[in-house]
Amino acid sequence: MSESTLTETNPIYGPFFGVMGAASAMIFSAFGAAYGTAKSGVGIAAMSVMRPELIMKSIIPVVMAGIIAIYGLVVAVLIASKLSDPADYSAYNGFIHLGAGLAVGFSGLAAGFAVGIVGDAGVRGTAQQPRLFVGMILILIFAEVLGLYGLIVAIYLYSK
Amino acid sequence: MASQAATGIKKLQAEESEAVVFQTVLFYSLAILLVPVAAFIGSKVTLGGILGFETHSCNIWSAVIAVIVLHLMLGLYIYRTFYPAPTKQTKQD
Repeated sequence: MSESTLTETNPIYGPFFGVMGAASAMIFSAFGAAYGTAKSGVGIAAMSVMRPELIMKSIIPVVMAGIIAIYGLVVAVLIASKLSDPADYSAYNGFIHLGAGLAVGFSGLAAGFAVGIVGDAGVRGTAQQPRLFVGMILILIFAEVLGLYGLIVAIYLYSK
Repeated sequence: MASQAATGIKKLQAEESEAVVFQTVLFYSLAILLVPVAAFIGSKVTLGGILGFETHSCNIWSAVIAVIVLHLMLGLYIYRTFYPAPTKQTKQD
């Protein structure tokens, strides 16, 4: 690439921010999803020893933790599809994409922590009092929408 | 003899219900993983190729549709755990 195509608005390091945005979207949301899966998996393993018939109900926190990683994947794929040469990719685009990636990444991290802790305590409690199940689902949904808020902000930023 | 047969039937039923639970969980897990991906690709082809959307807005709408389909699948799974499918009644003597 010639020196003249790079301007102040399109510096050589412009795509760096976009790449970091895509990476952080995936890394942090996978971090949250992994914690959520592992923590609620511990609860399921402890609970299923006595009540194996409740396995299908108690898998729900694991599925919800997995969905948080899909949020990050969606944003990472969207950003990666827009990345290109510094001449066609302004620093502004890079900043926007970094912001989008961090928004969904850290929201996913927080949501994954919440899903994990609620899932662990929820499935253990459901084994002793089945009527807790509705409450556990509601709390899980409220934990899940924290990640969804991050996704909405990320897609809104990306559409700029 | 009768008690042995009863325990045998109970064991068989337990194994059968375990297989049914595994099939259900496997089906819904695959649905939650694969259907949104199919929705993303399908809506991208439909919006970009047939309806002629611009690539940028086509990507955004495909992502939104995929996330909505994902939550529909999750809702179906939660519905199924609340209201399990009626199991076949086996005759017991």
